[in-house]
Formats: sequence, C-alpha cells, structure tokens
Amino acid sequence: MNELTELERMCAEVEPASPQALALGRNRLLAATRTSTTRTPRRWPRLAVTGALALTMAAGLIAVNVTGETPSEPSAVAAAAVLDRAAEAAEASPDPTPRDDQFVYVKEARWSGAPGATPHARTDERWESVDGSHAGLRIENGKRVVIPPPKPGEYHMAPIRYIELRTLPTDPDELLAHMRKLTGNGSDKEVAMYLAGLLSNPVLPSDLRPAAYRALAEVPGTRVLQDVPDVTDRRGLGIAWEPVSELGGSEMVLILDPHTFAYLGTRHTYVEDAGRDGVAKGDKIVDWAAQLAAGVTDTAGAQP
Amino acid sequence: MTTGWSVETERICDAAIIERSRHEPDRFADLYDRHAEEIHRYVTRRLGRETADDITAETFLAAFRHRDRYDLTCDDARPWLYGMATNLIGKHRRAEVRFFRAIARTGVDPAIGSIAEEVTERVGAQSIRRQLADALARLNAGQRDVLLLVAAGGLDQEQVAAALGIAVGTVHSRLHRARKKMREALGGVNPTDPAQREGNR
Repeated sequence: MNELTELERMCAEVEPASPQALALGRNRLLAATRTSTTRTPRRWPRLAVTGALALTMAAGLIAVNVTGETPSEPSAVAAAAVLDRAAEAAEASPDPTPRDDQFVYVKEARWSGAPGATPHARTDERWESVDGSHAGLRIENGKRVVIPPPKPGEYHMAPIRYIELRTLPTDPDELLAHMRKLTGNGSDKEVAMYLAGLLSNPVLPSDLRPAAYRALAEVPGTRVLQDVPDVTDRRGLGIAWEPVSELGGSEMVLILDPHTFAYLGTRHTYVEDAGRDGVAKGDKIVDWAAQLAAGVTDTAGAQP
Repeated sequence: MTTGWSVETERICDAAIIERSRHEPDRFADLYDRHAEEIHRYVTRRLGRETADDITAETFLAAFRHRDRYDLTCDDARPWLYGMATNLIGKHRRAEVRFFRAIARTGVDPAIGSIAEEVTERVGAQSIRRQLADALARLNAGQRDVLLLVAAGGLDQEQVAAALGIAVGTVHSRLHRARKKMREALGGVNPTDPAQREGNR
C-alpha cells in the first residue's frame, strides 16, 4: 500500500454533497445566469457582491407549472400602478427600525430544487445581528444552527446585513442609479432583480422599501401577473420580468399581497427552450419562497 | 463554429456547453449538473463540508463569469473548474491547515460521512489518517494543491498543470516532493511495500 493509494482512499471516503446543497448552489448559479448579459466578465471583488446578491435573490425564488396563471397583457402602466400602491402601503406601515444590538428576524417557507422536481416547502427561521457583532441563529426543521458573527475583513456572503442596507440611498432615482451601477450598467432585468432581491429582505431601513418599489416602477419591461401563488399557496399579484423568448429563459416574479401590497414572496421559473414551432417545452419552478413573518427581536431565538 | 449540438445532450463536450452558454447563459447549469458533485468532493476533502457548499457554488459562479475566456479547444472543463476551486481554496489556506491538524490531533475526519466511516473503518485506518493529515498540514500550499488535485481530483499531471497554470515539469517536481513527505509520514506502516521501499531510498 503506497502513500498515494492511502491518500486516495482518504479522499474517496469523503461524504458526497447533500442534494440540498447542490440544489442551492445550482440556484445561485441560475440566479447569476439570469441576471447576466454578455458583457465582459468581472473580476473577483465584483464577484463577491454579485454572489451575495445572487444568493439573496435565490433565497426568495421558486418554480411551478405556471400555465394556469393568467398571463395578462404585458402592461407597464399596470405594473407601475401596483408598485406605486406598494410604495404607499410601505410608507403607511413602515418596517421597524432596529437598534444596532438587536436582531432581524424572518420566518420563511422555501423550496428550491431541480427544474421539474415536485416542490415541498421547508420552513426556517433566522435571526441576524443588526450590526454583525453577534452570532445569529437559524432554526431549520427544528435544528438550531448558530450563525457565527463575521470576523473583521472576513469574506462573507448573503444575506446582506442590515447595517449595509443603511448605506443605500432612499431617493428612488438615486437608488435606481445606484443599483444600475452595482450591476455594472447591467440590463433592465438585472437591475429589477437586484431591486427585487433588496425587497425580499425582511426588514429594510426607513424609507428604503418605498424607494425600492418606486425605483422598480421605473425599470422598463415590468409586467403584472394575476393570481400568482407563493410556495404556501397564498395568492398574490406578481411583478414579473423577462417575458419568455423563443429561446427559452427565465422569469422572476415578486409576489405581493393583492389587498395590502405587502411582500409575500418570490418565484423563479426556468423556461425550457422553445422548439422550432416556437412553443416552449415547459415552465419549471426552480426556487419558490414565502415570507411568513418578519420583525426585530432583542435576542436570537426570541419571537418579535 | 461547430459545437456538436446535433448529438445527444449527454455526449456534448464541456466546451460546447460553455460556448453555448455565452449566448444562452442558463445553459451553464448543464456544466454544474455534470461536475458540481465532483468539485464538491474535492473541496470537502480540503476544507470540510460546510465550506465546500459555498466554495463549490462560488467555483461555478466564477467559472460562469469567466466563460468568455475559456479555451474552447479543451473539451474537458474539469481542469479549468478544479483550477477555479483551488484558487478559492487558496483564500482559506490557514483554515485548511487547521482542518488537517485537527484530524491529525483527534483522528476524527469531519469530511467523512458517518455511515461511510462505520462501513469502511479499517483497523489502523485512523492511525494512517492521522499521519496523512499531519503530513498534509505540513506541505507547502503549492505541493498540497498538486497532490490533492491528483489524489482527490483524479487529474493527471498535464491536467494539474492546466488547472494551476504552471509547467508540467513544476507539477512533476512538486508531486515528487509531496509524495516523498507523505511516505516519510507513513514510515513503518508497511516496510515490505515495494513502492514504499523505493520511496525510502
């Protein structure tokens, strides 16, 4: 038995990746492919930002057969009106403002997996330190996992910390310009996805949520879908981008409560290639999320 | 350019997937489906499972962002992907050394699944594992990269050279030195083994 054989054995014993980890990684990749354009590849530092946002967005996605949904006329006017109502609603009942020593809490049902798989939502709860100085907590399937506080200078990924969200502009035009810059002057769809990712945060700084809705209303190519289910089958209004092209593609939908316009969740659908007849082969949800509760707590593990 | 898309999907080479993904970005997921598990295994061996989840995802994000630079004459994207993963692992160098030192100290290998461990645990395996882990922690980063790309990634020396962007001769000498150190670490495990005698000359 030589040293290389022994080492190979030690390598072969490694436990394979869990299906969940592989699915999550795949969704992160798809979130990136869906926001990409064919511009020059970015360098590493940008990648970190993109990865974080991509994960935030992937965290709020989905996929289901959408054929039953009312496709509705692509209507920029309707989308702008819905988003304006959402902004007003967010102003009328603003997100709570946490102190630095508190925690942002969210309870979420989510499913993510391979296109075409049967969705089965899992519920988890998370507490994240507002200023990043404390360990956070995640409870998933009754299992408690401590989220260690980031070390200074540590490379860390999403979710975006609350303290970082405070630095974003709260004027809609400035926010839109900021997001466009963040995407490297990316496509309208990419900007929209960044804004949708921002809106999927459970608690946003004062004025940022209405600003994000208003900024979103300015992005061309937005349309409204009726009666879109979230992963817990709550029905809402869908704000969608990237209509299906004959080459296939993907669609991200932000789901809002049809009465209160509150954020319900997101859904990400992968649309397979159209055949020569131009008919898409099928729509498959790959990531689907519903936000069930959100708030601010004094300690990790406490309910708001 | 000919990409071979007329053939069955499973026969399409990596280069064709990457080329197509330049215009249809979602196609890059095909490359993920093909290689993510393998890359994950490699990273798990070096940094443990949790870090491997992140680094594997980031490897493919990085690869996706760099897909325009991929040399389409290389049918097999594995060396390229292993190179990306190795770069990312390099940012966790101290964590990796700590990881192997902990295995050397405790004999417990967090990278191994508990079921696999029960089934495959051999008499003396834990002792060998500790010696190997200790030796891995002592290699310099360049030697460890080469050795683990061979042992965990299954790459040949030319593929390792491509993955790391170094000369094949450099791979050869690093591998030689790394293996020598591993042999020394295992010294006395099986003195009758011809490969080992050769190594102990």
